[in-house]
Amino acid sequence: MALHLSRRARGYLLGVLTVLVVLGTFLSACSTPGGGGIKAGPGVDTAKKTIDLGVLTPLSGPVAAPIGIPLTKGIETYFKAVNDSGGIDGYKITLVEKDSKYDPQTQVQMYNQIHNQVLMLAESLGSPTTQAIVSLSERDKMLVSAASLDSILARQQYMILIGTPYRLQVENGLEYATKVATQLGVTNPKIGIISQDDAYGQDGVTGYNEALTCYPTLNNVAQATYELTDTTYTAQVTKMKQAGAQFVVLTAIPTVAAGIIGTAAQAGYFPQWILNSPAWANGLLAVSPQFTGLLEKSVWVVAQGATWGDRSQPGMAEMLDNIAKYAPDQKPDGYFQFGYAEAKVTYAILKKAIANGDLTRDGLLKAFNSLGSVDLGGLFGANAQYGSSPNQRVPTRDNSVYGIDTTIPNNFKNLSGDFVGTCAAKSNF
Amino acid sequence: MSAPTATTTPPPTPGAARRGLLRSSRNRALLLIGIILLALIFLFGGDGSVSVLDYAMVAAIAALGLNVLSGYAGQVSLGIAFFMGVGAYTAGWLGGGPPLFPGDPSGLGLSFLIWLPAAGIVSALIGALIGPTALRLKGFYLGIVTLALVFIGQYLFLNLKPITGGTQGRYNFPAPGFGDFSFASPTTVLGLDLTTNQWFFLLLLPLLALAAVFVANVARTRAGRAWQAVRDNEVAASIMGVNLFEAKMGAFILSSFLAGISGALYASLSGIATPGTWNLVFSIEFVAAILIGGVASVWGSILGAAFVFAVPTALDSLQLLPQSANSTGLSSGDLSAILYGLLIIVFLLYEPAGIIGLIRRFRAAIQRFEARRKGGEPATTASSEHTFQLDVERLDLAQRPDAPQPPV
Amino acid sequence: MTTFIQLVFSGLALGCDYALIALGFTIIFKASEVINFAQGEFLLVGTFVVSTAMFTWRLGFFPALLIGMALTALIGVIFERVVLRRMIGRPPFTIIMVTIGLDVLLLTAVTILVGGNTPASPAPFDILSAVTIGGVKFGSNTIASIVVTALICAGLFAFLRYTRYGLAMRATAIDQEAARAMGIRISTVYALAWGISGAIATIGGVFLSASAGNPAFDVGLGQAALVAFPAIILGGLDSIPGAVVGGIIIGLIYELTQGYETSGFLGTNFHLIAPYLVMILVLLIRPYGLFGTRKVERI
Repeated sequence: MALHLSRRARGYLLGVLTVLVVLGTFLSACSTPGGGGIKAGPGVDTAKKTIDLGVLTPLSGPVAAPIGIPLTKGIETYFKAVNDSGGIDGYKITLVEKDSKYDPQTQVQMYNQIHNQVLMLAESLGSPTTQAIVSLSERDKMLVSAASLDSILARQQYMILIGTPYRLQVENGLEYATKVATQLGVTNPKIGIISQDDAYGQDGVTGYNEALTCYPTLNNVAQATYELTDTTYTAQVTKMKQAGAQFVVLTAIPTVAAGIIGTAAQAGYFPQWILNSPAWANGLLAVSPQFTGLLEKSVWVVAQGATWGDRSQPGMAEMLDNIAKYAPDQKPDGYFQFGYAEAKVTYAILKKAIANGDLTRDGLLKAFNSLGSVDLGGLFGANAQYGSSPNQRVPTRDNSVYGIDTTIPNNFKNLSGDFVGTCAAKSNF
Repeated sequence: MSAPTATTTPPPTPGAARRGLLRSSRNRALLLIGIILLALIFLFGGDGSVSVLDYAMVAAIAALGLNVLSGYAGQVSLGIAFFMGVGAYTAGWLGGGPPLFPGDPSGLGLSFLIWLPAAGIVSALIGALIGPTALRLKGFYLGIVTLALVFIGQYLFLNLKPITGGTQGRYNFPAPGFGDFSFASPTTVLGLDLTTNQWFFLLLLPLLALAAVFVANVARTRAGRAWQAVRDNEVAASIMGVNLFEAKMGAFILSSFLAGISGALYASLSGIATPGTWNLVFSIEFVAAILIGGVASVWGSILGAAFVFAVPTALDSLQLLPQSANSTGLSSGDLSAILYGLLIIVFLLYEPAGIIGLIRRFRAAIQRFEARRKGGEPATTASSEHTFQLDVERLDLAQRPDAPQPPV
Repeated sequence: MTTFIQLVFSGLALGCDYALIALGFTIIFKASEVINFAQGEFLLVGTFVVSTAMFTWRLGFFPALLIGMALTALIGVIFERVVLRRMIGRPPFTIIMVTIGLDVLLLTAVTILVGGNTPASPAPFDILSAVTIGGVKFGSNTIASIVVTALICAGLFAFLRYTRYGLAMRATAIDQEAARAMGIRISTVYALAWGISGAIATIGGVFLSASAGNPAFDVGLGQAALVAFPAIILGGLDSIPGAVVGGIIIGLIYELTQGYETSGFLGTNFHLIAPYLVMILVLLIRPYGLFGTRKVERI
């Protein structure tokens, strides 16, 4: 304490020091744009040759373990493999991941935080959450790889989807149900639906209603919804039970599906449950042996994709090899497969953009619109088709109806074979 | 209460707040540094940082409202989320445009100068309706009823689909704008090309300053003193002639007004709100903000709001903890939640006046140190700086003999 | 008709769980005049510990339950000793906020520990096992929760009535000064109150998540405890039988409104606020609840 500064001087000195520190922090955080040649947008460092991609996904909360985390791991694994083999024409990919907690509000806040740091979003998980950022992505001209099968999103300009939409899943599932009912001699099967009260559930209900017009033998007896904040499902189950629904569609998430099925069993009600793909997670099999038995007897999951382990599909073989190298603990998981396939489309877009010499947001959109089809190596049905406008994008329309069989690696036994139902084929959206 | 110090202060004049703020050179220096910091962040911090500051400023307005009700008037309230929601949906309904999505509600498209004040006014009106019943209760009972208000509010928001959009939420909130110019898609003005977040910043700073100066002034008028009297001892206050009902209602209405304005700005900034947005945890964040920042203090509300709403994101950007599918354990969101849970407890235990209290103690300690160095003169000049602030330590003097004595 | 019986039965079971939670609040309130807002998270912590002990460490249900109860009791006692002891005499707002601070801490701690996983509901019986009586199916866990609640209430009653410590607690609740003068160690009474409260919370939480037939629970479990507030207000803040009766009534209201609300006119989720509407009514008409002691001042 040798310096004898007056209080005022000390105050000013402290102030100047603070300012310098803050300034320094910010300047170091700013990215330095690199050399010329290729046109670069946000998140691209042409000097270091890196591209930053955003990931908005639930990393905590009930949707994280069954869906969010394995799906994200699929994307991470794919890009790790890409980076290790030299990147995309020399560009290495970095993922900036933020936890959306499956909440639209949080998703918007996280988007606002990263939207100037990344070139595009490599993942945006969930229908309600992705819907929340549609207008923001349009404002920013940001491409979003949506991990959602909402049919409304499929027609948005900046949304990249793969896979058959939920709406068509329900229609395909119900077509299979009519077939089974006929085999069992039931002429007018009574059906019901329990759906999540949001965009995701809404898409399921739309498909349900369309199916009613397509398959006149179906007898709609009950419909119910649930909120994500619900903890008991007695009311919804009672409604289905009282109406005597023999087939019940569940447009839900895994924890809720488990709750509904469990509550119904306790009430002595055992319909055939038809689950949209997000309602299933392998974790449901860890609850209890009795519950697993119940699932094996009464649950169908409407999904798609190559069977895990089927090396005749080149995409599956490649994925299994990369899992062995980068994620050896990964158990068979349909969501991992989905994320991996999604990443392939992202790769294709970036590759084309680099080839065009334009890694700006506009450049990516142009690349996306001129993609044509992307070879998913059989991982996810036929090749993904993308046209030059949203209306020309034809997501797949096919599904398989799977039963649960714990003797098979991914627990899925293909009951129906891959098919496109008549309703799904002509559905207009 | 403040009687001993009152004799050393001249009576408050209309410019009193400004006088208090800019009185000493040190305060002016701090203010200058603050302004420079904000300007730097505004210009160079990147849109993310500006966005965070925007949220913090909106939160500060609500924190001011909560401080009026709970800090100055001592009425326990967990219901601020409800009033913010009311303000938000009012703004959406009055100012919003055509629906952005199937199922998204539409709005009347009225101007910013209508929907913002209306949000506050409608919220205040609802506060006026609820007040007479709610304010009959005290302490824990009032707390529980305001908690129930949040849940009832969420139920109403869920079911009033034409206005709130139900579970799906409402995407259709107005952005501030004047005439043809809208914050949502800003054009170049006077050669300045700013982002939406930056325009919000320029709007929120003066709004916050206005609210802060207003609350600071009211706190020094008779109404403000009445609130504090009610908080400290209702019986004594009514004996002194304070109309308990009027005092409590006044605080409740002002608090709801500010909450409504804040809610409208919050929804406008986010561009989306679901009934789940206005939940109990949201309310608690504001209570934490005023406790950590400082009860019954304008600066405390602002600092507290900045802490609760800006620090988590700041921590995040420092990237102390990675957040990815591969990491297990702590995320920075968790870290900040633990931090403010701990801080609430620590502050309540040791420094109920929050950060402001800490700052005051720190300053007092420095002055004592200085005085001793200079030869043991009592630090009389320092004391006049404290007249403007309320001594929260006095609250429980009767029961805690070891409570710190206020600086003379 | 069977629907009605079913709903009454599950309402009764839910009510018993709420009664346990309400008991936790009331015991603490009677002993130390504090409302513990963190009671919900005690529930969560306890259930989480039991779940971990049962599924990850592969202990049986009862050892796991005991571990959970011990841990929550310990947290309660420590909190009381370290924090609340120093806040005697502070205004109620401050004390409420301190318990809310604890609530936030506990909630975050559990959220971190849970991470991205979905914890399974611990239960004495398999979640699907049920007993059929007269054509109506009754879940085994649901029956268990009713039986356990009855046992706990009986045990508590016996404890308060016939043991020395119980007597000490009752004396302290009536008049702290006099009790201290009689040589009762108030610190022991407080510790006991918080400890018992925490232990009961664990039991309440376990059955809350198990009796609905839900194979898993999530960190929102603690929020369910908030519904116990209407229960204690209905029953009377300082009345133990009031807590039980209030809890059961609220549970019945909850299940019955949920069961019949699908007819639409009450809107979605009315059952979530029905208890609070009842509570507000009680506060306006009969503020001391069904069994609470009348006070001269108006609350």
